[in-house]
Amino acid sequence: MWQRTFSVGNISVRVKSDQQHCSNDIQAITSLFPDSANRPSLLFSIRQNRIITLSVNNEELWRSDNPGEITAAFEVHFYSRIVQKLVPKLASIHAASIGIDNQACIFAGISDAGKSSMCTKAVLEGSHYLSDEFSLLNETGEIEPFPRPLQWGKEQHPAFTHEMMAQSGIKQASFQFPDTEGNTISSLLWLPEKIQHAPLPLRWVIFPRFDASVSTSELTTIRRGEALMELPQHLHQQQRADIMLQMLNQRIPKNVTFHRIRFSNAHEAWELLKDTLF
Amino acid sequence: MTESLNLSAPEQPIKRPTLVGEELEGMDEVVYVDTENGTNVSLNVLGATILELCDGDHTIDSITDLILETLPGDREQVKKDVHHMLIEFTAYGLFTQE
Repeated sequence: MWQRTFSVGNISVRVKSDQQHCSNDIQAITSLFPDSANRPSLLFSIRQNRIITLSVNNEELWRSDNPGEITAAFEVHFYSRIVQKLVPKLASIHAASIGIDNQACIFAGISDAGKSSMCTKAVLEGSHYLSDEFSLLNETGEIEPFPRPLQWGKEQHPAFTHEMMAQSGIKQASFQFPDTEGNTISSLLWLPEKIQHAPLPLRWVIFPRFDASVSTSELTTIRRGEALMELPQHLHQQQRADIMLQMLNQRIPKNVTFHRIRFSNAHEAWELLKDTLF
Repeated sequence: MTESLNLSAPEQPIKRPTLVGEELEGMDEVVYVDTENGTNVSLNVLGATILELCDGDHTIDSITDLILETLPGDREQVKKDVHHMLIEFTAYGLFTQE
């Protein structure tokens, strides 16, 4: 039986598994979260009998004879249950976040906007890693770490080679799971070395937009009001529009600046951000 | 906000009750969000003041008079500006249809 207790934001989570394959995968998925000695508020359990079952706090979530399917189900429920627990104390923004000079920068946007590309480039350049997907904004305007591994849905990334990643000291892991048609999907995980474990004050909000037609990266500064009108759509937990707007306006510090960057080359875009903002 | 002069403003406009404003302190800006449909619009403080006066009791003349109490200026010009803004608000669907 493998088990581990760790913290995410202000909660403690324990995972127990007696299924070897699942244990290995979940160890990788959860490896960047710091250990916790607190009593867990979420207990995920994976048990192998004739069939493998996944449960949380004794509520059965999934059953299958395929360990990969259980790991995939774990991943989905793990993130959604944690976000449910963290909200409203922490607002979870669909954004990647990094730490630069003890301040946080978030890249917010829809899928494929380029959040993870900017985050990966920042990490390769030595920034501290907070999250590639869940940026947790607390009540005092800080971003709390949610260091799940950087995740690629495909074996290759157009902007980063495996050699680049390996040379920077980022460790690699992966897990396989079946899709709805039974094909095996591989999810590649990258485990950055410089993990930020303490919250950092939010300083920059950037809306990236990958655009293959752009020859040179374009960075523009936008008004706080414009950003506040856009950010609610990137919250994981949707509420009434005015409540989200008010919450974000109260929490986001007054010295935060807001920007858009359109880019086709993540390396060049990062240089522009570094020269202009950081 | 853009030009939209083909519309006319209601005589005694009423702000949609589902519009909720959030003032961005120190930035001369109020962001309004419609809790019914999620649409939003950003106004400067003067624009927000005019919108808040659209309660069904005030006319363009009474709104102009109230504005002039705090921001002295040429009455005809202020009235023209208020009228223009009410047309913009109409175009953005900030008033009830009644």
